[in-house]
Formats: sequence, structure tokens, C-alpha cells
Amino acid sequence: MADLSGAARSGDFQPPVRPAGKPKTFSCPNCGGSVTVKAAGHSISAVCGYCSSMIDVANENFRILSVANERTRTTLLTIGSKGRLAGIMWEVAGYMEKSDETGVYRWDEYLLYNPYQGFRFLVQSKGHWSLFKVLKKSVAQPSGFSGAFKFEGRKYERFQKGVTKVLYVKGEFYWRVRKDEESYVIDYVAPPYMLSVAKNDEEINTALGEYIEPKAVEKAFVLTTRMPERIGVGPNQPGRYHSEYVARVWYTFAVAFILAAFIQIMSALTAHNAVIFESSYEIDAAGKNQTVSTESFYLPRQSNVEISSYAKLDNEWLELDLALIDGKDDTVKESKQALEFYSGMDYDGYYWKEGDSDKDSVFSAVPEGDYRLLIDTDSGAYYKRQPVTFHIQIKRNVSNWSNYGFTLLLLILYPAFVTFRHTQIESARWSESDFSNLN
Amino acid sequence: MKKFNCPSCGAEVIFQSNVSVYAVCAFCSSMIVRRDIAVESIGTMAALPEDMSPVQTGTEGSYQGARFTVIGRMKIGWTDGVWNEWYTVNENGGRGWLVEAQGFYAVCFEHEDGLPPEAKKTIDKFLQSGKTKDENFNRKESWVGNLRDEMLGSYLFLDRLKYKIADVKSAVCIGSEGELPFIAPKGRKTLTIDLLGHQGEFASVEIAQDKTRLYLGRYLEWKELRMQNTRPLEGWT
Repeated sequence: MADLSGAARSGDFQPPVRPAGKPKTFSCPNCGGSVTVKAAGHSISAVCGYCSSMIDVANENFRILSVANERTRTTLLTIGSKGRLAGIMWEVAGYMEKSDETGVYRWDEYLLYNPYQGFRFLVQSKGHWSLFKVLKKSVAQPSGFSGAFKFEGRKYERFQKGVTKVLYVKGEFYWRVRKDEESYVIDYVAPPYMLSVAKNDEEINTALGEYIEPKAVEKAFVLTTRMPERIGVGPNQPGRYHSEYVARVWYTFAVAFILAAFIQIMSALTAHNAVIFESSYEIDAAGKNQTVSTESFYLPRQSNVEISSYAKLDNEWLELDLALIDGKDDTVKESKQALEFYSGMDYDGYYWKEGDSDKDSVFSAVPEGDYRLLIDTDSGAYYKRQPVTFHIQIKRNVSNWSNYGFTLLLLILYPAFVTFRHTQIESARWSESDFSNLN
Repeated sequence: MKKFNCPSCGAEVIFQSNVSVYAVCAFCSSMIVRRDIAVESIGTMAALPEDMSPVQTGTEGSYQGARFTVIGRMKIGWTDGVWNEWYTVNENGGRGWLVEAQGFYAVCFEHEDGLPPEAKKTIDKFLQSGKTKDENFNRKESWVGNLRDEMLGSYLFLDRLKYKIADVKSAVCIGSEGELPFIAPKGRKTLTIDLLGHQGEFASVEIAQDKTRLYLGRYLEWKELRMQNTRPLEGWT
């Protein structure tokens, strides 16, 4: 029982109530306005929302670091507003306007805060948005001329480099933010990602960014003001026609090409090329208005049918209108073949010739059965009152190379288009780069 | 687990870890030091500066499959801010630290073998060996700044891995709560060197007056820590 004394006594004590974590509020040492530090315990610099003085909030002394010489600006995303991006709720804690060394090219950087998730940077440049996270990883810097390197399975290419300057600040920051502070930055891209390596006097920071559609930002922070118009292609803006997609399309094409070639070769090897009818015809000058009918021939099973014609022509033309007629006198297929052959001697004794004295047509998938071919003829010979002689040969189950060629043409259309679009987009993207191979 | 009564207010003080030698009484803020079987008070801990940390003593989390509980904290300050070092004990009795700085979380453990001789040699060279260690704590901030400039980006081999020096700070304990494995009164000074591995590994060399400690671990995302019993935060429910 004696042992209980301690336990019993401690039972009388209620542990002190632990207060919930809350933002820290104090009075601005310059203007007396109320300043709230949202990321209490992290933020060390804060800008007074009333008088824009920069205040040291690293400890309870709240020392003024600088008194503002510029009025408070309104920003697209308001300090203190909240929005959900990539599934996480963020509060806008700080804003920086940055520029390149010349001060001409400017962009916005918002510092986002979530007490559980830490900080992110939401960057807006020329209407393109990216969400960056500082990496706690030692990233091997690329060396050599190419400036390309692999990081977490992706190939990053050097996009731009240069000095960046802080032009304007608002809100609070977990570092000593200073107007006019300069960093040296190199950006690498592997759309939709971007690696940004920043070097200042104190540290080297690598941040990994991912492209965000402007609409997602607009929706997340319920923006009513007009979003900045997207200009050009963003350095890490992803697209339908990215390199991997182009590669995938060509890979698919290669597979289809091999498959088509295989099918073509197989059908060529197994083609019968069997002659089912063959005959020669001589038609006199009066034949112009006559229709020639071949004898009936039998197609033993459904297959394609090739009709080839040949005529010995001497500076002459011959036109054949062919109609394949089945046993019920119905026209199954029709075709026109124009044969012509011209030749002669140039002034300088050069022999020339043009035209074809043979032609063929292929009718695909003709059903089994008896057939005749009706031929209407016309020729220059008739007008010279001369006869015409031609030869007709009909084969079944032939290998058809023109279909194959047509298939290949169709197959290559999409890869060609994709490559074209890819080149167009990439040249637009890289026209903004310091390391472009394209200009 | 050992129970004592606070020598100052009599409330029950529990030492959950048998290596804890120091605790701050949750009731009266007495700093209690354990010596063998007895405890004594060495003064009162002032209230810690407020922050928005979602962690508190009693918060539980996961690291490499083991659940841990936060049992104490040191609040550390340096010229450019503060951070939290939460002392943890896991279900297997393993004791570690959850470091929370600038919204990043790293779980680490004291490396039993201490600093490897090669790494020690490299650091000593930077520290201009020959000077007494004690001087390192009373140097001016400009000295630490110069040291940081020299050390940043250098590599150290620790436990067969290559680490890059990412930060060098002169740090001071600005308060503590719960139980801790060493006496951490306000004003305890250290020189800390933070390092990064290629795969998110975290290492920290802490040069304190009594000894140099090496901590090894890794950075983790909030959701990876699978935290429970977190602290309520105003505006973030």
C-alpha cells in the first residue's frame, strides 16, 4: 500500500493543457500594424502588410531590417489565400518578383506553406506555371559540353543559366530574403519536370519542379483576376508530341512494318499465280463499236484476280474497258486500262520512248464461279483504219505489291506527322533557351 | 520504463527509455537529472518559443517498418532561425531523432562507432586542428561563416557512403521538454555539420563540448512518416 502513495499523488495532477499550434501575431515595430507569421518556427523574415517594412522574426525581438520605399503591391495570388495543388492544401506565405540580370525578363515566385508538408515554390513565367520542391539530395552536377544528365531515370537537358535578382518581396520567408539579392541559376528540363540549381553566397539549392496547367492554379486558388496569357512553349511544358511519344509511335510503326512485310512475303510465297484464262484478239478498224467477250473461265475458289493486257504498239494507243461478268450476267468488277507506246529519234540522234504497252488490274476477293470478261476497245489505229492486236491473261491468287505499298504509305503518315509536330514544338521551346541546338 | 517523482512538485515523471538521463517535468518545468536511482532538479526550463510544428511528445510515426514514439525535444537556434530535434524511442527499444527543420523531416540515429577516422581528419583540418575544441563554440559568427564557405560542397565518407556537406552551423539549445539522453539546458552549444547523400540520406556531425557525435539516417516525406497523435494546428484541421 505504501507503494501507492506516489501513484496516487500523481493521479491528482492533471498534465497542463497543451495549446494547439497557431500562427504568431505581433505589432509591426515600424507602424504598429498587426503582422501574422503563418509558418511560426520556420519564418525568419516577414514583410509588414501595412507599411512593407522588412522585420526580423527569428526571435521575439522583431527588429526592423529595412523600411520599405515601395507601396504594397497586389499579387495575383493573395498572401494568406489557400488552394489545393496536387492533392495538398497550400497557404500562400510569401511572394517574390524576380528578374534576370538585366531586369527586363521578370517572373513571379510564390512561397507556399503547409505545416505538415513544409514549403513549395509556385513559379509563374510567361503564363507558364510550375510547382517546385527543394531537394534534400546531393545531385551530381553534369559536366562536359552536352550539359545533359540523368536524374531519377529521366534525362535532363540544360535549358538556361544566369543571374537572378529579387526585385520585390511580400509576406514571410524561412530565410533572410533581401531585395536585390542575386543567385546564379542553371535550369535543366525534362518536360514536365525542371531541375533548378541555384547558388548564392551561402548555399547550393536544387529544386525539382513540375509543370502545372494554368487552369489548375486558377481553380485551386479560386482566382477571379485574369490569368497571364501563356506565351510560347514553356521550358518544361509537356505536350502530346514529346520525345517518348514520338519514339513510341516509330516503334509501333516498325512493328507494323515488319508485320506487314511478313504478311506480304508470306502471301507472295503462297500465291498460286495460276493462269485461268489466256487469249489473243485481233480487232479490225470496225471494232470500235464492238464488244469482245472472252470465253467463260472458272475461278475454283474465292481469291483475287489479275487481268493483264499486252499489245504490240508502234506509236499508238489502245484503251480497254474491262468488265468481269459472272454466270448471272451481272457485272462484278470493272476496270479501264490505257496502253500506249511512242518512240522516235531526236535531232541529235538520241532514241527515246515513252508509255507502257502492258497493263494490269487486280480485282480483290472475287467469289468462286464462272466468269467472262467483256472488253470494249478504242484505239488511234481505228482512225487510221488499221486493226489492233492485244493479248489478255487472267491469273488468280496473285501477290499484290501495290496494296502493300499503299499500306506502308498509310502506316507512315502518322509517325511523319508526329515527328513534324514534335520538331515544331521543340524548336519553339528551345528558341528561348541559352543552349539551343536549333539556332 | 522507470517512474520517479519530480523532486520539485512531486508529480510522476516517467523515463520511458533507460538511457534517458534528463527530463523536463511536464507539470512544473523542472529540469530533472537522473543519477542511478535518484533524481535531482537542476533548475527550471523556460517556456519554449511557439511554433507550428505538427509534432508533440506522444506523437507516433513509422521508420523502416518500426513504430516510434516521440518522448522529448530540443529546440535549437542559430543565427538564421530555429529547428526541432525530437527524441524518439521505437517499439524495439531503438532510440533515435526526428529532425524537423524548414519543413523537412529526417529520421536519424547516433552511429555507435562514432566519426570514422578519415572523416574526423578531414573535419579537423577544416577546424584548424591544434586549437582547443572549446574555442569552436565561442568563436564569432564570422568564423562559422568562413568555415561554412570552406566546407560546403566537400565530401565525407561515412559508413561506406559518400555524403556532401550541405550546411555548417553554430547551434545553441534554446529549450527542451520531455526526456533526453543527455542534459540539454538552455545554452548548450554545438557545431553541427549537416550532410546529404545521393538517395536522400541524411548525416549530421554534432560537435558538442563533451563529445563529437555522428548521426545517420534519411530524409522522409510527411506521408511516409505515417504520423499519429499529431498536435492540433489552428486553421489546419
